[in-house]
Amino acid sequence: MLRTPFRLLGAIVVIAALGGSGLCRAASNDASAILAKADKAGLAKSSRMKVVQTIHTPSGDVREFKILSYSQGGNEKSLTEYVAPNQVRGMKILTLNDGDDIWSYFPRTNRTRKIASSARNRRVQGSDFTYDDMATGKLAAQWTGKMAGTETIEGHTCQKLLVAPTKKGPRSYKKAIMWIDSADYALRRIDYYDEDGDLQKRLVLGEYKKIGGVLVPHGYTMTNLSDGGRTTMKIVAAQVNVDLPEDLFSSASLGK
Amino acid sequence: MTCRLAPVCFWALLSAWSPQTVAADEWEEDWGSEGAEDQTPRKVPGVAIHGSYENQLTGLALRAHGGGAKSAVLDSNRLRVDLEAKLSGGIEVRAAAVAQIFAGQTRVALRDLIPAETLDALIFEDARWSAVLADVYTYEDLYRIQDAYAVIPVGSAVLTLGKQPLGQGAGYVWNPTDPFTSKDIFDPTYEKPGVIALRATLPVFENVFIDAIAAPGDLEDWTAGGRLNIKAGPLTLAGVFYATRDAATDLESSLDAASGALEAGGDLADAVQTVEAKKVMAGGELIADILGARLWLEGAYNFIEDLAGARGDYAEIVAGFEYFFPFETHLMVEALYYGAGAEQKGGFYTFGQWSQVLEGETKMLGRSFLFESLDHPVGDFWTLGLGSFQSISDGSAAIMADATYAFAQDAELWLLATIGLGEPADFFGSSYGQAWARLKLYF
Repeated sequence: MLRTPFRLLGAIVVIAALGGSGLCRAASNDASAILAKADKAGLAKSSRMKVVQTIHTPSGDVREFKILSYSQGGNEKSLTEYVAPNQVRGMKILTLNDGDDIWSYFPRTNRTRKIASSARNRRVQGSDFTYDDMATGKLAAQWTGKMAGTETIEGHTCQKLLVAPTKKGPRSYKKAIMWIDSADYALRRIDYYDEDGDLQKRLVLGEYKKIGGVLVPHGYTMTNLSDGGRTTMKIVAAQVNVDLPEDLFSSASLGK
Repeated sequence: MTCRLAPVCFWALLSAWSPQTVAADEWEEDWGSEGAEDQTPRKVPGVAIHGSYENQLTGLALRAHGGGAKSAVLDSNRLRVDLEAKLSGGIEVRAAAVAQIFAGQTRVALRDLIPAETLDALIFEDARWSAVLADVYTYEDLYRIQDAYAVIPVGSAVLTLGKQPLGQGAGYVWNPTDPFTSKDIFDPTYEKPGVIALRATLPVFENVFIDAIAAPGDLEDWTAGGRLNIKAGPLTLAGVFYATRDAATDLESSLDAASGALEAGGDLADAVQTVEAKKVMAGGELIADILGARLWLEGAYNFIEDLAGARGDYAEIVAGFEYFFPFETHLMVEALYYGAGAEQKGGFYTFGQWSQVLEGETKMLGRSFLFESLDHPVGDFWTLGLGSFQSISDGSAAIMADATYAFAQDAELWLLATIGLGEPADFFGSSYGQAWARLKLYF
């Protein structure tokens, strides 16, 4: 007599498990699909941008940098050149292989130095962006996760995704929550969680403009929720899918 | 080309500038309206001028020859002006001029820089040395063209012609494969005067490029050679070959000439005997990234021409690693074996050996060294550092502590203090230490 309820319970559990894993797979597939759509909407084969970076420190100091930013292969390769202030003028940071290789160039000594990959979680020039953040490329390749409903972010209805980095993803974070616009798949916000699972940083993207069919956020802010500092990036000019010289992304050409 | 011609060449290139062909910098380029079909940047004429002003207050704590301590305090003001211009065809012209003026105790007696054991042994051999050693080491004002060169793309290659910074090698403090630049071990990233050279950087395959350099010097002490750089997966490799000259000054054999010069009020430097021998340097380097740590190995073997008074063949190898911890502390360790380093005899280095270091002919006294440093960002714009050097050869050491504060945009203050430990006759123990306060403003 007792077997029947247990068998039934077992069957119900098995059926539920089978059905549940199917549901999980579906949710994961949906998340991957959303990430892929966000990549399609927002990634270009190549880009060139003029960016004004403003760092607001926890103590209230403000520092401003002018940056020329180049990328290729959906940010697989990127070059950042500091134009101002004069203290860092001519300094370049080259990231290759989705941030696995980081090179720094110092114009006054004409030296190029490869930086240890453990520097990926280091802030770049005191900003709230790390080298890992700068190497962010294809979301679908770097993150995996599941859907978590919809939410409205600054007036935009967004798909909410709970994600974790893949092997190709950033190494500084344990997980993240992403909000991707349901209408145009623009990435609106990312909440980053550190290794302890605590909310560490928040990236909010806005002022989207479509350039050459690609959605480019012309303003975005990374806020460090642990110390209260924030860094804003304002894109002054942008070009996408431009012809960039191949040797622009070579460590040998950094002194050019 | 000689030093005198370098600025002439620079001005000749700049005279080729015309308003239609020069851009101040890429930020000023007009990229047109976003999304426009024509994305060709339109160059804006102009030349970019920028630079830096630096004031450094230095305190030296020396071991006085007669015993006890002696201090010297000096101040230097340094102005650097940089000029950059972009011509048509991707050609760039870059130049920098430096003026540095010293004040304070700018003359330090040689007998307070060189250990007493060394000097006493010297004077014991020949009493005339006591007169020669009344000489002083002087911090002299300098005005120079630091750099003046053109960067010229030719197809996929890049030619760099003129007086240019030529720092090379994976090592942080020491670079066995760099025949051009000698670093200050307490400030290894500080800019150095350029070297007049023709440099050609040529990509061979996707991850392989050649860097060939020819520096004429005064046509007698020329240097030529280059590097073959290869990126192979996670490894970066280089093979290096240079033909150059090696100078070895023999002060102790120059005594007669030096005494004569001193009595006649002439220049001691002209009296000194220096042997210049041909040198061939062959070596390489390897950089790897393992478990987040950057590892490097850089080494060279130097074959010296067999001349009387010339240095013997020697090897020089550096190995190091650096790691950035998640809490942002940066650790770096480097070890050096320097075969050209002198070894103590009777517990001290000779006067000639000390002089070679002061003249930059040898890098260090001793053969085996270790360097460690830790730095950590604190607050918004402070970085604190702790470091040390150890001489495995003579047992001496130097401890360093420094703090950098970027107190405003384009402004920074660097404070450094070092303490020398060991016997007075040892390399690091020869002085009690030094301290710097450097203010640097960029414009």
